[in-house]
Amino acid sequence: MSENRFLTLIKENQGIIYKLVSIYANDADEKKDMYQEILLNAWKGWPAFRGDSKFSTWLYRISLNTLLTLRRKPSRIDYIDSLNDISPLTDTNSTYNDDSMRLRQAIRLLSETNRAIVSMHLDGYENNEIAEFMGISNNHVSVKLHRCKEQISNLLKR
Amino acid sequence: MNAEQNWKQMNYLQDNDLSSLLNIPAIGGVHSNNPLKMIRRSFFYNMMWATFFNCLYLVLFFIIDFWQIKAGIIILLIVHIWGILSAFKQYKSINLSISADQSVLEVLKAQHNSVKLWTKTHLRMGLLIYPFSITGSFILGGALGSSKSIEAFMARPYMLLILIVLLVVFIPACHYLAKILVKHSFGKHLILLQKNIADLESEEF
Repeated sequence: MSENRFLTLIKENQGIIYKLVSIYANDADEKKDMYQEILLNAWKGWPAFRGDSKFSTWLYRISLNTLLTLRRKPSRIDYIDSLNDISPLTDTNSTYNDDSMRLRQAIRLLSETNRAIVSMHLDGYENNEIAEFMGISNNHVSVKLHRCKEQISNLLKR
Repeated sequence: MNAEQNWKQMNYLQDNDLSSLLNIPAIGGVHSNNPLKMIRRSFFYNMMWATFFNCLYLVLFFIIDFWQIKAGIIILLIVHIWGILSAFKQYKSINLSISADQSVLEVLKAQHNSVKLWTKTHLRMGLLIYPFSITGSFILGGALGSSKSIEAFMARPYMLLILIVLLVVFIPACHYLAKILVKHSFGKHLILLQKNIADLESEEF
């Protein structure tokens, strides 16, 4: 498959990468590093992409596997229980509405693996798909999602 | 608007910082921060340095007349060759590609194991090399510095004692220093990997 096809598919699905990077990056530089690392891994894995799954699903998996194994800068968020205390570090150049921004900030307060689970859930993946992708049981995903939702809704109410 | 809609809405937004980075030549030239790439590079440099020092030891082997030093050099050569072979084996076994076929937990565990293996190999290799390097440096330096034969230099009663003290002090010191360096390089990353693995495996929130 050609370079152009790869670029077209990435352009069509780059919202996935933007969103995921925005819940893991601590600053603008790290956001760029993460984005480039995902593109690099996607490009390297592109010849092996057989089209068995949707490109968006494949890219989602590449993105999360990359983000969770990348050597990270120390997080600037130690413990915060109010969304007002977090500055929107990564989005000087993009435009999110207030609700989206608050939701994203609430997700950023979850643990790294829970961020992945919640983002997949919000993107419409079924629990069994999330379980298979994360390598944990279906029941475990349900419990985690339930508690994450509670935590997020508490944060959004404040 | 509910959370799902808010989240999905972000799919259609633009980020000018990032979209400018999307082109194939730029992607090809990306300096990867994948820790396994750094470890693989480290194995490569280890092999290169070990080969360089083996050549140096071979030259010394033919220049120096002391049989004790020659025996030490032979042992060091064997240790280094073993080191090169095991480094090469690990270098080849490290898979840099991020697969979409593996689960997050599998990917995290694979990377954690690779980093731990690299750490263990480095520290063990050091423990094998330090005694020979310290002994060789002490005897050769002492004999050459005092312009005496090794037998004459080591014949002094306190020399053996000094050598033992040096070994007792420097082997743990070098090992400790190596541990600090390894921790500095991958300590935080290992802790994060362990935390994420535990987070996924634990039934608690």
